[in-house]
Amino acid sequence: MKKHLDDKYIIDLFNQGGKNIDIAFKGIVSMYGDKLYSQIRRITRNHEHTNDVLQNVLIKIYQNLDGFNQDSSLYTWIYRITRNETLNFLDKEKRRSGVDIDTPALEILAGYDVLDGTTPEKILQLLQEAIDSLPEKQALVFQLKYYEELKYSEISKQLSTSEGALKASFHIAKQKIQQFIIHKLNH
Amino acid sequence: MNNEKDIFDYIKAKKVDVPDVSYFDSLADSIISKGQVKVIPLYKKPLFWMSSAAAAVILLFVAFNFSDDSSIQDKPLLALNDMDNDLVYSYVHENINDFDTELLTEFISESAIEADNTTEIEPIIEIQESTTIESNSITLENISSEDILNYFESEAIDISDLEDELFI
Repeated sequence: MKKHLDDKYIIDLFNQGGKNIDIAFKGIVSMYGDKLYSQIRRITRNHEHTNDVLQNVLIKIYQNLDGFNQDSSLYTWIYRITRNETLNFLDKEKRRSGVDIDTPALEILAGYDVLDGTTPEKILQLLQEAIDSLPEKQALVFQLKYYEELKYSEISKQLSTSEGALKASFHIAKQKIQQFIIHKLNH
Repeated sequence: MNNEKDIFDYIKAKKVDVPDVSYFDSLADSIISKGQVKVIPLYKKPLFWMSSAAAAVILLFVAFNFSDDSSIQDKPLLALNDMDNDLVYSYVHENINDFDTELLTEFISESAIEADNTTEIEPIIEIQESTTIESNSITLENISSEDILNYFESEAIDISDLEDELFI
């Protein structure tokens, strides 16, 4: 099980310079690498693209960690970089074609007539659009809870937010996403 | 009623296949090695400072040597002043045809010329004056017809050959 390092500990380590910069950076990759990979791949749906985007994200983290002002949690800051980098990548990729993509990482279960006749591809696209329309913190909480299936206690440590606030944030995020998808499917 | 249903009960997200730990470790190592070529601000580059120092030295050298106009003009005169006058005059005398007289007068002040009583310069003036006088006075009017005919005879020139050329 991965040890969760404190944001302050990582920043202090980084600021000590020398080899400690590399140790701090490896700590970040160890803690958040898999989450960032999942976050990117759900959107790019291709390992090679995910790899490219993730590399860019990590380079930005490595080169700009000294500018992290600690207004938010470290993971929120990293999530923001990842989100921007992925969206930038998508903008560029729209012009391309013929890229092999993963099958949708989503399955539709029977029993809800609004979803009848639609495809997992379509729902996945609407789901991503809905997440992108959320405030940053809500989007992050939703992804960690819904996709990563983390416990509130774990998210609380990573985002330095109380569990009560996280539960409320996740509930609101779900409502907004549901309304967004149903509205889109009905129009 | 549909509106009471939770859409998330009917869509099930699949976990993304994430590579193993070694993938992330090698990725981190790769970034760290690339991080060595992190963009360094220009003012932090040693080459920048070396170039700046070299430029500053050149500027100082130029400013120190050429900022004062009098120093530029004084240098050749200083060198001349250190030389023996006789040597200079003999050089000028021997190479007078290579000098532009206007240029020479620019560098030699009137007082210096007046103060100079050396005799070597006088023959130059005399030669120039006498040459000028002679060249001005050489006309056919000053030569007698007899001398001209004697010259043609001595040179074996037939005067009839010159009639066409001289429009006689």
